[in-house]
Amino acid sequence: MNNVVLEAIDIDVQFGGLQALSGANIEATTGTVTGLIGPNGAGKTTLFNVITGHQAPTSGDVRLLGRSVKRQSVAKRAQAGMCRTFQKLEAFNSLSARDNVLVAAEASRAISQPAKLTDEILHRIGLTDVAEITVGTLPTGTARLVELARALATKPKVLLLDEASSGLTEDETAAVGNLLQQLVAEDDLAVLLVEHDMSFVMNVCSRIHVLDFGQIIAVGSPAEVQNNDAVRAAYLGTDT
Amino acid sequence: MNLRHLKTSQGAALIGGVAFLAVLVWLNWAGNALAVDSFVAATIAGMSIGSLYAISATGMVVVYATTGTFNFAHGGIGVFSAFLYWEFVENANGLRLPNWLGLLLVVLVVAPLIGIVLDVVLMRRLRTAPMVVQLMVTVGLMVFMLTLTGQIWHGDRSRAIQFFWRGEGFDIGDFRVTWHRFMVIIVAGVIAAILRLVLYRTRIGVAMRAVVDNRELTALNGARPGILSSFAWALGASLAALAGILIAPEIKPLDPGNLNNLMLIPAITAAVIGQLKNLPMTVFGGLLIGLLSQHQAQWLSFGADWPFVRDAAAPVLLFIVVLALPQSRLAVGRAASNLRPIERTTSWREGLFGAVAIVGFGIVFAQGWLNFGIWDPGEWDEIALNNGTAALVLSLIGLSLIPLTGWAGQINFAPLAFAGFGAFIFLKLAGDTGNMLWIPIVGLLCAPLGALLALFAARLSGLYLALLSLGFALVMGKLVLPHPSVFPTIHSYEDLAIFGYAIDSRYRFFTTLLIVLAFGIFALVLLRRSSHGRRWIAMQDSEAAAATIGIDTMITKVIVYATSAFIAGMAGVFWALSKGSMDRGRDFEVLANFEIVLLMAAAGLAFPAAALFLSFRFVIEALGGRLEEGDSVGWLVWLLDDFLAKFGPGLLAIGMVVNQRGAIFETGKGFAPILPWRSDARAELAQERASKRLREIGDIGLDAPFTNEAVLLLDSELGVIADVTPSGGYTHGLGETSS
Repeated sequence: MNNVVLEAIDIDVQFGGLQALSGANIEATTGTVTGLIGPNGAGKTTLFNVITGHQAPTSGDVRLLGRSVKRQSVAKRAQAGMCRTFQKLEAFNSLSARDNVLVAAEASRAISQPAKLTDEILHRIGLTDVAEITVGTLPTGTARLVELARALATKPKVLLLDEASSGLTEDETAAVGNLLQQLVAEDDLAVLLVEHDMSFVMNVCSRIHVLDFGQIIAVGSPAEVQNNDAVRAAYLGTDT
Repeated sequence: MNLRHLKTSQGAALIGGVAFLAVLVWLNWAGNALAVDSFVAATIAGMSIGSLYAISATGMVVVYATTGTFNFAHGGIGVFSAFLYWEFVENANGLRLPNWLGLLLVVLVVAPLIGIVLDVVLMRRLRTAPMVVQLMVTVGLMVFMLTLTGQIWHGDRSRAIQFFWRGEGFDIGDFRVTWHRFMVIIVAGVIAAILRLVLYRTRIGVAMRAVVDNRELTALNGARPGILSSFAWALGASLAALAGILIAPEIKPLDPGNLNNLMLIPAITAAVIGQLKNLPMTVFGGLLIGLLSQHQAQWLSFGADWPFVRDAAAPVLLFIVVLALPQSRLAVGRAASNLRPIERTTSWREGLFGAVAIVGFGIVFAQGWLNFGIWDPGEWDEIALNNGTAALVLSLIGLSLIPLTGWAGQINFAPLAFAGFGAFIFLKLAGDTGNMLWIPIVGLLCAPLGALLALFAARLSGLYLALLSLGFALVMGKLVLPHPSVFPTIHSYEDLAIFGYAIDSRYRFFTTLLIVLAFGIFALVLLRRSSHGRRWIAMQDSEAAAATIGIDTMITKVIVYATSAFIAGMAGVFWALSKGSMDRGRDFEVLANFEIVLLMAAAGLAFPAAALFLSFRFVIEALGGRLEEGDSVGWLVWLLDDFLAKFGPGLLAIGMVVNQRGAIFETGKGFAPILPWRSDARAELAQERASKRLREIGDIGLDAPFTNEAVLLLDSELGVIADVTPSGGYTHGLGETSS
């Protein structure tokens, strides 16, 4: 059951004189929530952008289910099973919560009954009460859930969440964490998330990659990463 | 211009455009001898005309660089200034000032005042508005200024402005160069150089550019943004006035529309060549257009029957450069270009009810049963039916904008291009039979034209998309549609017939249009509720998010453009039928496109009902005409006929500054709670009232005592649950009890 769904291999990204990423590797496995952490400016969102197709790497490869998607557009990769949420909330603000999810279900060629899937997902995430409300009028926490529900409606193989807890209260964050763990356990799903909320990451992820100045400096379980000297130095600085 | 970074699509556009022009030249070579002197003559004439374009364009770029607003009304200000100059200097019954004094007065006193007033009253509010609103307001302002000029200086009199120095000049070889034209070239160069210096080397220039980038930050650094932006607008208006007065002698007789076209279109093209920020390139662009048009007049000869082809240089160039050149980065901090009103989707039953109501009201209107006791119902027919038919045709064309601009957010200034194309196809296929069954086929054949525009437009958004559609409208309206093989000089359309039933009376045609419009609105309601409608709105809300859920935005855009062309093409058939034949010279005027888009936008492009808005102008004109015939109250006639009908579109569009989501949205929001089946609107209203009450309570504990009601309200706003104790009192989340 635990297959490697997504691999980013030796990713280099250079912006003019700045080396944003060098030799970055990361993978996502079904049944696992994988975390990507690192100080500000480490290159986390850049790595995400390379994986989803929003940014072309200077060199390196991205493979989904073993096949390279390097030449594919963002939409094609989404059709192939990769779905991503954004740091800044990008819900469809003038559509209702239900329509947000429905658009995603309808966009996927593989889904035969979009309306049914939409209702199932809304129920599962707990959004049935607000289904008919326009998302632009919903509070951030609920809107983030709509974004998550929308991503699930594409029946993804791997879900990439960019700071999904941003704008959420503690309770809401915990709820999302539980939900993610449920999803990877029940469906054939892999989750890769970028996060700043350390307690969220340590509780929810079973595997963590740490990025600093464009390079992966540590990989391991939460305990291993917390005790890693290089990680400590990156976040807290070294003793002088 | 950095050629290394051109994408393949841009390269393709450039090569394709050049190839098209090469073929055009080869096909239409006049065969004149390539003599040096005719070459020199054309070049000199081209340089001076081009300098005029350059002056106008420079003004537009300066305004954009220092205010972040693309001012479509630039030409309007120039036209108004030119007429004012005429009034001061040339009018035999007027002040008869010397021309240098008149120039100074208009350019350095009146025009800056106009600029400042525009800034304070209007332009400041546009800073944070979506791009669509900004465009609509400035286009509306343009229409308003042109109409105002035409009303103040009535077109029944012929006016002209003399060249400076009365056309005297000097000779180069065999050719006479007038001082006026020579000075214009010098002036253009000097202005561009001075502006470049001011904007990049002086404090005030740098401050003006900073204000566009980040207004708050500039203020924090000690500059006064309000004064800077007013200064920028004053400067822009002066430049517009100068350009207008210098260009005006070339147009005899002086006419607002023609002067505006000459000022605006080449200026926009030159500004785009300068990528809206590079002044030297802008001047080069203006000169290029001037040279192209003069040399084209010299060396190419098109059939005499192809009107406007001589004006086509700038439009074709505009189209090519918008596609080929990299877009300049829009001013930082500009708000999203999203004009989506957050509205509740109309149910299909409401749509059906609306459609039936439209047919009902239309019939009542046509029969003249609503005569308010003012006129004889029998005489209503001609006026009502003529105006009503024109109104319905316009509404049908307006329908095409709803999916394209209202839902998918693709700004489009070319509905008449598609409609004209539809009229052409119908003429070729069924012009002599009038069989109505051909109409859907015409629509299907127009769809590929929409798809073609989509392919060009896919990379663009906001201002550049609007300019591309303008270029498209111009190319179709000045080059393609007026070609003699498209609409022969003598042609006509047979009356419509369906299954043998002939629609040969005005009344039958009107009723047919009514049914078609009602059906069209109902169909749009259904389309909005379909997966396509949702997808288009999703794409406008967030193109990035749409891609990440697997929506191919290119294909989606092709589909919505094709749909728009489908609708507009069919509307075009009815347009042609309502007129009997198409007037190649007048029907495809770009200004007519603007009026349709303006009215639709002011109504609210997201709503199918907005199409009805276009009818109101004609209803008003009909009422005005009827009142006039009935010798009714003079001021009422004037109000309807002159003021509302002429100034309406411009003023409504300007009104979008406050009414950004459209009149229908605002009206609907007011009416919805009254309707019995709209319990959700009443709930929303109750919630808004509750929030307002909370704000009215003021600083709790400071302005007024901490009442129980205030606490309850606070708790509900905070989502804190209050438990009810057995004694009937309640516990607050804070742990205190009260009863």
